[in-house]
Amino acid sequence: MDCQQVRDWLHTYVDARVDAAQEREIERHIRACSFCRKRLVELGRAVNLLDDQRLIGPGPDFLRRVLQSVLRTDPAGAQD
Amino acid sequence: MTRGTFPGGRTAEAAASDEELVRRCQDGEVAAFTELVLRYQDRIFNLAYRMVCRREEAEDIAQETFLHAWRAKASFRGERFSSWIYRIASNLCLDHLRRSKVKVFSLNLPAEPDGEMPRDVVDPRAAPDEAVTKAELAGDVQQAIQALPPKYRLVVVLRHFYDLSYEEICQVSNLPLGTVKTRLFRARDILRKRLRGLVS
Repeated sequence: MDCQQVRDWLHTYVDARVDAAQEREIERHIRACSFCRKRLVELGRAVNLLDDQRLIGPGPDFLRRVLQSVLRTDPAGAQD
Repeated sequence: MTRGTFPGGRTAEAAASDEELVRRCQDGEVAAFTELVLRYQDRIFNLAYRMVCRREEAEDIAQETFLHAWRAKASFRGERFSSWIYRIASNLCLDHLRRSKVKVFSLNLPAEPDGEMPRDVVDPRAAPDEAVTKAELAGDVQQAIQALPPKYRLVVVLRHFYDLSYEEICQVSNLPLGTVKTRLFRARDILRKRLRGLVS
């Protein structure tokens, strides 16, 4: 297995989408290849940063605006 | 409007599944629709915000998403409501970005992360010292996401803000699995390089 092949596998690896055999192969490569090891560490860090982002909500008036727009277009609130 | 003051209360609606609520929407029940909005407003707003990066535009897109869902409710059948509404929101975001002049900044990936970009994120310079790291980090991450081409940005947002599987992203985006993987992997390779050096 060369670095080019490992490249995509690193992504499925951080997404936990590899089977046991692939996992062993990736880990064997990573132990031997400092380039891919560094790549995996960076990728893992980027993924952690993405996963840590806070969920942001809309303003308090949002529901009212949505319902107003719905009722404006469909005053009976029904008959679709 | 606060949740508690909405007429009819939420007790009956809160126990229903999304799909049951949609069936009731199809019968014209606004209370069922209200519950769906309450359940999904944060997620839909957040998806739009991560895509367009401006609060006001994100709210408009989120509002448009729910309006579109209400109008199209008769066409909903046999899939998860979340996939259906994420798809509506995703399409509206991509349409918006296609129309918007801002796309120039998104499509030309600047070589440096501090390249000037119009954005509405926390300004780390304005934060007090103790809060700097966290705010700065969030700003850097948002900026890096914003610098991705929209079609890459969408798969990253769906994967990491919504924890969707590859297959769920296919459903939401109407893309084949190979394309989803290619876009996700390329996007994350760009982010990996841009976020290199930041402390997580």
